Amino acid sequence: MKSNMGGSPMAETKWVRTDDHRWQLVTRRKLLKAAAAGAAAVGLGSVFPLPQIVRAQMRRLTFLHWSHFVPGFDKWFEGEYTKEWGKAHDVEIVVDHVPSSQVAPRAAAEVSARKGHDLYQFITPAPNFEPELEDMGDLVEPLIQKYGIVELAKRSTYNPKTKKWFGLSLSFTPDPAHYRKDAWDEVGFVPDSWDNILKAGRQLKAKGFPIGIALSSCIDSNMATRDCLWSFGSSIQNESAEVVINNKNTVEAIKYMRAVFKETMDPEVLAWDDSSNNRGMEAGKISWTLNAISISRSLEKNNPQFTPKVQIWRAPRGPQPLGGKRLGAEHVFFSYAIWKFTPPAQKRLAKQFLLDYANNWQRAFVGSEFYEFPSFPGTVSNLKEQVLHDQVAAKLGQPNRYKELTTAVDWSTNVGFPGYANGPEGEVFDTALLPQMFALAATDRMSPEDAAKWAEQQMKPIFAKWKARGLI
Amino acid sequence: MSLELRRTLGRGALYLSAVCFTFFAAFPFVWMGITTFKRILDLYNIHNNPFLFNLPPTLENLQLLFQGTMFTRWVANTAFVGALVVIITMLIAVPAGYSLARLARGWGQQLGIAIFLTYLVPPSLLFIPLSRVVSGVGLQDSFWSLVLVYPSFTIPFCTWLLMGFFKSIPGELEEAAMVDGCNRLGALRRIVLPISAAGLLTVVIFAFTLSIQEFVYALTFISPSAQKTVSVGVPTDLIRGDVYYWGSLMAGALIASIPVAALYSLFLDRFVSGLTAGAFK
Repeated sequence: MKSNMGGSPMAETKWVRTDDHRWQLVTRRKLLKAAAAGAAAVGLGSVFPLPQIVRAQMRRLTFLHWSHFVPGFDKWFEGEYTKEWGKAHDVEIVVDHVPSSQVAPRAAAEVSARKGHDLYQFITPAPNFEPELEDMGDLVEPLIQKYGIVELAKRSTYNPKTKKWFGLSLSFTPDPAHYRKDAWDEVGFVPDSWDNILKAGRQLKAKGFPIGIALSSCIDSNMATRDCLWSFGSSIQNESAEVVINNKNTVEAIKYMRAVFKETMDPEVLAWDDSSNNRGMEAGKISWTLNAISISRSLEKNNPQFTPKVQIWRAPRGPQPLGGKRLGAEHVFFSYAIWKFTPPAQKRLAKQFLLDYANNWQRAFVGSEFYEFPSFPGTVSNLKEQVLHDQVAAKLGQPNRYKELTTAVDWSTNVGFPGYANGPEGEVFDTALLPQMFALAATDRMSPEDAAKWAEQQMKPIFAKWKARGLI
Repeated sequence: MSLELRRTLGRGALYLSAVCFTFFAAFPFVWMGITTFKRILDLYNIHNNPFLFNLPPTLENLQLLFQGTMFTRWVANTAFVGALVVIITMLIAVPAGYSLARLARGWGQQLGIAIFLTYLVPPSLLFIPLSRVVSGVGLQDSFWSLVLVYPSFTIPFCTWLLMGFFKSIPGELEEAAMVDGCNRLGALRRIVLPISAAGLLTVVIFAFTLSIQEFVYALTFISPSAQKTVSVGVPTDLIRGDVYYWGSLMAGALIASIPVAALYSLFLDRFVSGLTAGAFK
């Protein structure tokens, strides 16, 4: 049987595909006519453009966030807030996540690739990335005019040497103390001072409730040891970014921490990570620790009956002869940054988002369950009222559970105090030199004097390196 | 001491060792299994026996893993990336290992060691320059970047492993094949590879395991959730700041490790013979 397909004797006819599933046998004349008509249509179309459906490419804005400790916050931000904003501005929002401990390595990879997210959220101040970051001054300064700024936020995102705002912080997390009120009441102390922590801690440990201060390389340890150092009237650097750690107040702080370690804590604190004190407090094992309110919020969800036993207090006050300062580092510092290599149109879009987000910070404050305190205080007008009337705590019969947070701005300060959070302070933080200094003396591998001297020797080259780069 | 007593003691020591090793190997799985079904209150109570369910077991942790995260997608991505990396590794490591073992007589050993040394360069040093490469070829934020990069550490290791294995096969077998009319490639295909099944299987398992457990590259090259592998997706969604979802984390680790453990168990004899083949002359 002979086929009618190509090469058939029926030379005047051809099988032509008329749509996806249909073929039609047409004559040569019919085929030529159709081809001519098609060519004419294409030609005319170029002279007289025919109506066409043109789809404009939707703008896109990408975020890199660390996974928020309040899962509901991510749902609110991605499922509600950014959807509303994206719809209003015809922008598709994409939010990617990394674990909180991997924010810096991911940032380094984006810098190396010269390609990354339009908005990058850091978990600690990011002065070490300053040369790669866009100046946010045009955004920050109008916001300061409108809402004011918390000093620690300014000192964590501004470089006075280069006059550059290398980040925009919309929020920070206070670092209060969580303590077992029932146990502290039994020994008759209030955890208001470092002195009380040592005195009460001796009795509490004997009762099976040790104090919990990490002396390891985790963030909590970095923050807690800074609190202690500052409250004893010392610091890593002075306001002029010069290393001043090797002094008699540091030695006193080290002696104090050595006593706390030996007399009130378990050796396991030398190996703690950021979740260890959360676990210790939630398990009813430790009697006092410094941490964000994640401990309290987790307890409210997981163990409401136990929650009233764990209360919140301010960061402890230092010894009166050394000034009696009450200072606590921020637990988490949220700052948004824009890479210099981000295309200009994306930079403008990112800044527009940040401006609108700042103006709506009230919603974010509630969404974060008071975890994120405003860096621009005017963005949350009734902060004190909201904190004093927390609904979850009220349901548990603890209406004033978070009242100590209402004074958090007074005793919270920045990494780098009394100076700015600059590059070398960031490097000293990342390499955990301060916890190491305390741990070396606590474990008797060095005397307190030698530990302070060791810290100075480690820190001076770091500061010199950053000074040579012209960034401090 | 009588022979009977010595025999009994020897057998007792053998069984004791077997029990210790079994406990050592099985403990992580048992722990993960228990934690998967434990309530957080039960897990955190230090007065509870950690190996018992002091409160009724719960499916909440599995529910969070499967309904609150993209776990199944991550498992699929991991399996896909692992399979492709194994194929690429085999295609390159087999001829490379064979060439170094048979053809590069004088300098094969040194070159093999040099190739192996590249495996020892840690990803924490390489991820920054490699991120530029990945971006340059337009694979950032895609799991295809892992298909590109993972062979950079699987091929050197597997080449070195196969080199030792091929060396243990007598060259006379190939010579006989070539006398009978095979060329070099034919001898490799018809004689060497069938004999090397244990070694090839070892390489497959190693390459697959190295791929699915990798963390640094997967973290730094990929950020969209839908593109992530298990090793990055699970900690990203289940470690939130200082709050760890232990039950779901353990469930994720358990489910992801079962296929690999099964693979090892099924081919254990071949795997051991593959590993030790190059160790004896």
